[in-house]
Amino acid sequence: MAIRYRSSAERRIGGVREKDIQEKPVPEPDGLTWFYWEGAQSGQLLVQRCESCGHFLHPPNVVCPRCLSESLIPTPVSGRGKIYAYTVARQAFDGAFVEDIPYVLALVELEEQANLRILTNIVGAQLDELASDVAVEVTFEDRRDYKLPQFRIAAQGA
Amino acid sequence: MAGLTRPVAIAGVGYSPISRDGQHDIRRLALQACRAALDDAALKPDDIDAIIEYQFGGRGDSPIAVGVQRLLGIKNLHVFNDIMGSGPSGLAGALDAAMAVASGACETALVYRCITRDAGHSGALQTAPIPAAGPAQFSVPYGLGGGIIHSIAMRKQRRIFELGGSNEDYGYVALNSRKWGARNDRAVLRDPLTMDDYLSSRPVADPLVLLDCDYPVSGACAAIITTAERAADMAQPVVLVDAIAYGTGTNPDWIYQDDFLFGGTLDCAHRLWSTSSVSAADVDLAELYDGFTHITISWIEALGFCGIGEFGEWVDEGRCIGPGGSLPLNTHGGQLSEGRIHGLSFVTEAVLQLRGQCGDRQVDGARVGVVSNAHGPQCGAMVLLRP
Repeated sequence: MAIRYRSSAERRIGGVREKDIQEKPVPEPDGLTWFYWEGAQSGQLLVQRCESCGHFLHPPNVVCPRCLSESLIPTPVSGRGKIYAYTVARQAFDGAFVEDIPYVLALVELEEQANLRILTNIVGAQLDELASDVAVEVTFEDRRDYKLPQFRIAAQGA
Repeated sequence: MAGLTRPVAIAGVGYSPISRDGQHDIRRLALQACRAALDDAALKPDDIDAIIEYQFGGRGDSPIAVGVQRLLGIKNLHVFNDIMGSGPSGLAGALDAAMAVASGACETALVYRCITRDAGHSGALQTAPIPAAGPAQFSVPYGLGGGIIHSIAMRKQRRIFELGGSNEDYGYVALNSRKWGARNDRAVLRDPLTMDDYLSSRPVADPLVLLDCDYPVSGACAAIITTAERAADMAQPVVLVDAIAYGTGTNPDWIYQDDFLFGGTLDCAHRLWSTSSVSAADVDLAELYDGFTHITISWIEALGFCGIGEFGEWVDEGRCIGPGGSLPLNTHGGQLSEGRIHGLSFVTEAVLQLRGQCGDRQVDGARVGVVSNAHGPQCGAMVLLRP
């Protein structure tokens, strides 16, 4: 009897049929968030800042919750911050991330303001380097037509 | 009783069978639970003039309120409402019903939570593309998934960093659920757990492990909420709703909330005790949401059973929350053991305990119970009393 090979469609990665693994998602910007992804495209992390009281907010919204001004200006920030909280994903819930397991999800608190947090991956880190309060800095990941703000452990002395 | 304008009671509770597998018609599940609650109170469908239910919304987990009205052949309702997934889980229906009855808008409300394993299984792998639009454009491209699983995992990590404690603290909540669940015929996971079982259970999202997460099931539970005056003439011992409260916290959100560790639990607990006729020291049993072990620990501390960050010491290797302990916790086994019929099941269990109808797991002389649901931006709680 001839040996039968599984077709590539039946190969499995992390329990998922290879043909079911999707491309990783890209953001779908809207009128409110367009500035954020365009800034990332040019290597800038932009965060809305209230023109009236100076409060930063993320994710983008339509009003400053501190003073109710609707004048929110996309403003470059340093891209420096520290890990507020993180998790190492051991199980994929989104088939597009099966091959990335284990990967790191984190909330990074930007240095500009207390509680100003961005959800991100921590890229290029050893797992034993990760802890709350570890300094991180922004980097940008190419993903098809977009660049995704990501964070990495900050260079020493940065 | 500061929070309610006329005395309100819970006069009936009921359950459908709870299943780990199989396909279930949500109409039948809801009907079974509602019929059981009516029977429990010895009421007929036309005694009901309000129906309120909580569901995820859009996931096909529950029939709408007037759908159940139609099933039961009720001619008209004075109040009906379908509460979508941003409220305090299944407790949301009971909170709304207590307000509707207290206000006089209705007299006798039927509330239920119906859920299927498929709809509730947020840990399932999605192989179809997940849209990254709206708020999701800031999370889906990063691989955040599984409902709130990753956000809860980060809370557990941050809590241990900020407040100390250990994985074992969380383990005692998981072990406790099985101790009680072993005494509950409804519970689907009844085998005892050891700390080794907990610590070696499958990692989901470090430091979150499988046994930190509740268990999706198909089932429904229901309660009948009416005036204390009417309840006194019904079939069961009266259980009063002494206080209700909601809480959101500042900047409410599952990811970006200012108080990431506690969400709205602290605000909710503060409001609850400020309107209740009793205090934390008077509580005989606590039925506190355990969709994840972190949530239960937050509620224990928020409600003031111990200080913030003191759970690990307070729990005394599980002794104080187990059978015979000073604060019997989740006496039905919680959602970790009984299964996730999602929130309202903490109310129905508290009612059965306060009536003294819990058999092997009965907490002797229980007169005061506290119930809480959810976490993050959607907290709710209730104090129940046996007068």
